[in-house]
Amino acid sequence: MAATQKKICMLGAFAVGKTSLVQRFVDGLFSEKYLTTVGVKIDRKVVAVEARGDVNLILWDLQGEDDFNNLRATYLRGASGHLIVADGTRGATLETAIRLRDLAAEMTPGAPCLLVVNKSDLRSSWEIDDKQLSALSEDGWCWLTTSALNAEGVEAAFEKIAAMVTQ
Amino acid sequence: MTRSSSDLPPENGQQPDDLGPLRSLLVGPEEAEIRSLKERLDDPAKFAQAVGDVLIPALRHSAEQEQELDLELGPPVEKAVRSFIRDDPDTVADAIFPAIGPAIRKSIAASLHGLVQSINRSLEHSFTAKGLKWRLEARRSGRPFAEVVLKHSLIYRVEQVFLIHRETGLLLEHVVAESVESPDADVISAMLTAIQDFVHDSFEGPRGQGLDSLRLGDLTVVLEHGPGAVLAAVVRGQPPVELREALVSTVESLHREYGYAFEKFSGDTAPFEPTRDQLERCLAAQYAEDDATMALPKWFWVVLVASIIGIALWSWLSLQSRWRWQDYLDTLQMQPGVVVTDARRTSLSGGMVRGLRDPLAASPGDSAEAAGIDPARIDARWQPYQSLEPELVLARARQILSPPTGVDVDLDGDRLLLRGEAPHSWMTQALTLARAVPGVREIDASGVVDVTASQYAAAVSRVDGRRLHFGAKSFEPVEDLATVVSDVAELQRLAGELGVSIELGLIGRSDGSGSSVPNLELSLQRARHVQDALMAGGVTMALDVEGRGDLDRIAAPEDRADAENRSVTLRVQPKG
Repeated sequence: MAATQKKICMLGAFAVGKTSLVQRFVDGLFSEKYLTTVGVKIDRKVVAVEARGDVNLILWDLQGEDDFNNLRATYLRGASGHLIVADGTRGATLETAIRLRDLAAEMTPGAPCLLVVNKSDLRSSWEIDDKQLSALSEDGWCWLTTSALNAEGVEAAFEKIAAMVTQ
Repeated sequence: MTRSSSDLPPENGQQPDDLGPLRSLLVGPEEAEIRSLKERLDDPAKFAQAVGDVLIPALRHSAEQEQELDLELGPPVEKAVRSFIRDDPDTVADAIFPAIGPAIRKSIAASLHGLVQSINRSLEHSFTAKGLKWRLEARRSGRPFAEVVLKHSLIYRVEQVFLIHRETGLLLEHVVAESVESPDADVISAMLTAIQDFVHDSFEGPRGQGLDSLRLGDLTVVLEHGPGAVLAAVVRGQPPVELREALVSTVESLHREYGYAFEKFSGDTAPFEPTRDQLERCLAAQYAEDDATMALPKWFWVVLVASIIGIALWSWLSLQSRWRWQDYLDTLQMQPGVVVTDARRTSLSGGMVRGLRDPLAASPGDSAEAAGIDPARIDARWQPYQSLEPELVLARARQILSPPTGVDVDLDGDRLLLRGEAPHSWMTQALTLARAVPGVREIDASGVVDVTASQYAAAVSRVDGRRLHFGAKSFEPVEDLATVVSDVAELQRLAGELGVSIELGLIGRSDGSGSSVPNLELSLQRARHVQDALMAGGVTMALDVEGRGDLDRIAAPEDRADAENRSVTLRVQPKG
């Protein structure tokens, strides 16, 4: 209880790998059926942040957004930060990510967003190119690439968002 | 002054310039005051300050004078409040939340007081009468007693209380009842919030309201919402109305104390640690049995306590007695030569035992005393028998053989081992008797030294070759024959014991002085003299008397030759 707690939402289009991103790296208590029933699954990730000690990230893994499922905006309420996940191999997921960031900015003004472009292990078949990413940087986005498959960048993503929300 | 005066407004629209100096002479000081007043009226800040200075005294004065100020102020204030509430109802609700709860409860409590009292009375009455009847009812109806109790009363236990930040769903504080574990309270807190959001969104619940409770079997999550935080109590059993009241009152009290902290919460839960005390007070539990028996009369409790103490004491004594008896039986069973066929504890201090006992076994009374039981309190009846247990076989062998000091009797399986020094007679007897000892098949007497045989050998060496000396021409020995007689008697006894047949040769001799014939006679007489002495001393063995005269001389130095030959020599020889 002594560690700082932060609510972090994980957002992203359908099947971008949000759940795969967390399931190997966090303390889970609930099964994935919550995602399809309630639309959210809660996990916990304790991250050590320099000069801040342990930060207890309460991760709200929200159901992927697609044509049939709309995100319940209520779940964003009170979040300290958002991990917005896009799939590097599907360009459309980046558009969803941008839309989700706008929604997050509206629901939780001032809460930082970290864009995670997943599936870095399939870099050769990416639809999102460096030009798009550097354009995002210019637009004020913070982003990094991860692979849920080989764990590359996953810990870094959690550490980064923990640092961002404790600043 | 002149320039300033020109700023003054013209009076009646006229401005005769020539009257200026005159006017300034006449009303100059008043002009300055008027100008100052005008400045205060024109400047909104100064005017506001001037009105503010008098407004509070004016209101006070108006209230004291019972003037109509409040009547006048009422409508505009009411209008303003109405419009404010219409525009932002949440803020108003949040603001009056801490006050409105207690007010409503006070009012409801007052009106319900009478009703509750009468319900309590009827409940107490029914508890007093029915508390004990429930068991009868359970027996009659064939249902479990717990079910009957449940039917009649409430049982509940608050197992966990979560204090959850309303906006973020983060866990601020969490307490659990004894023996309840909940390591994932923070995750559960968030999920609880998510589920509430889900239900709220799905069924379009009214704004500002949340779930009141969730229920699964006998587990209920009772939720109480405040503007900044939610209290969730996990209850096993039927949550009573008082629990809801306790939660409401706790939420209100927490909001009074931590309202600002809830609003400014940014993830650090440390400031909410002091809320544990208040949350722990919600961890109530109530068991119906308590209520059922609480109303029973005092004498019942006295009798109950006395009975419990009595039963406990009796149980303790009985238990100790049981332990002692078991100890006694265990020791008894372990005794070689004892077989218990029946045993029963008949009182706290005694009992009866039946069985078989070898007379050589240890006394059963010793086992009783070792276990702390008075042997006199045990009715023991033993049938005698012969045990073949090694200890008893050995004891019996010792009893039958009665070995002399210096002889060890031992048992190796069914082989009897004899060791040490023993008389020949005992040995002979022992070897025969040992075969009759039950349980002994073989006897090993190789370790026994036959004392009689060695004594016999010593006796033979003392007697054989012994020479008894005589004076010249005399058949009276020069030495006392008593020692020889006793030595021969001993030899005779030992030979008898060993069953050896011997005879003693007595060979008489004489010195060489004189002629041979008388010498032969003299030597024979000497031998006969010794024979007589031996026979007189009780020697009965065969004595072979012989006179050799000076014919068979004993070789000796010159000076002692004659003395050595005036003698009788003893010879121990096998008979026949």
